[in-house]
Amino acid sequence: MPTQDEQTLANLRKGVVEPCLLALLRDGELYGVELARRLSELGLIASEGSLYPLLARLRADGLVTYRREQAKRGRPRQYYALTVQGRASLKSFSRLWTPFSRNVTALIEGASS
Amino acid sequence: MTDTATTAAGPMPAEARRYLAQVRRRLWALPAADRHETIAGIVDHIEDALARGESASEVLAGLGAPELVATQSAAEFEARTGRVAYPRFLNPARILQLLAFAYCALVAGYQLVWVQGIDTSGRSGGDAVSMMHLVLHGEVAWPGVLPTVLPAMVALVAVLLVGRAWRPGIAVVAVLLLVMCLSNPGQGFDPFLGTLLTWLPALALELAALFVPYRAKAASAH
Repeated sequence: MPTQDEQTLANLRKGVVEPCLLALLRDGELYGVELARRLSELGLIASEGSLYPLLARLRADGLVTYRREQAKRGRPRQYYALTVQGRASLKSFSRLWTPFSRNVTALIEGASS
Repeated sequence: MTDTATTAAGPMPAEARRYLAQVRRRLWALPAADRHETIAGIVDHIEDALARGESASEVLAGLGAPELVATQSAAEFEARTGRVAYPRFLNPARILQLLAFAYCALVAGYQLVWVQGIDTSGRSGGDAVSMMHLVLHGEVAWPGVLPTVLPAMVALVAVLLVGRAWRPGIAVVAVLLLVMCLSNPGQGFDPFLGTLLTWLPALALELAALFVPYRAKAASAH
């Protein structure tokens, strides 16, 4: 059984992990391990492995694309990048997020004081 | 890309291969393309992390339990399609399979025990006979009943399969029934029905089971 905190955290992640992943790709493509490490450090995914089902869905939804690139040395590596649609989705999220999060923060902090 | 790929540092460690096999097994309900894509991402992750000099156990611990990956995959499938990834045992496809099995069992029973046809081969002197009668009187060797009972037996096994063997099982039964249909059209054991007409209803039911949507709508469809 997950604890109350784990359950709350899982619910919070649900709505924001997708835009946060898109935001990580805003400034350029990344490969899987980098994405997984960043999201995991930020506490946005419970385990690095859960990134890959998410990436598969974002690709199916047309928000993310990937390409394999032959590295100068070593094995080819898969890079993930935003699509036009992904960029539009991120823009929509960031426009709504600031007022939304301000309201939630004000309400929650008001309730705790 | 498969889990047999080698890393810059050599072949993939056994524990990583085991991990990938566990993930793959738990993703059985996903469409093959989704499953392959998820696995390919994880293979890449493992190879990259190993190439950075991390140990296999560190990498696998970071990835998390195979169950977590499967749970996340099911959630993403649900978000994308509005349907649950893992079908209930008794879903529309399995009900069709059950009907196909029941039909095969009835045919087998009818031909073995109750068939009241004239034996056109004349082996029983024109009497009304059943397959059992012929076997018991040594006129047909026991493997002769196989074409009669095999479809029911195979359909029964297939209807009880769970997990990733379930869908391929339906296809196997359908192929078997197709072979049965074509084995002797117009000349089945039953003098009134050829094998084509005898097995066609079961084949139709199994084919319907292959194509009917079998995943229930997700409770919180988007």
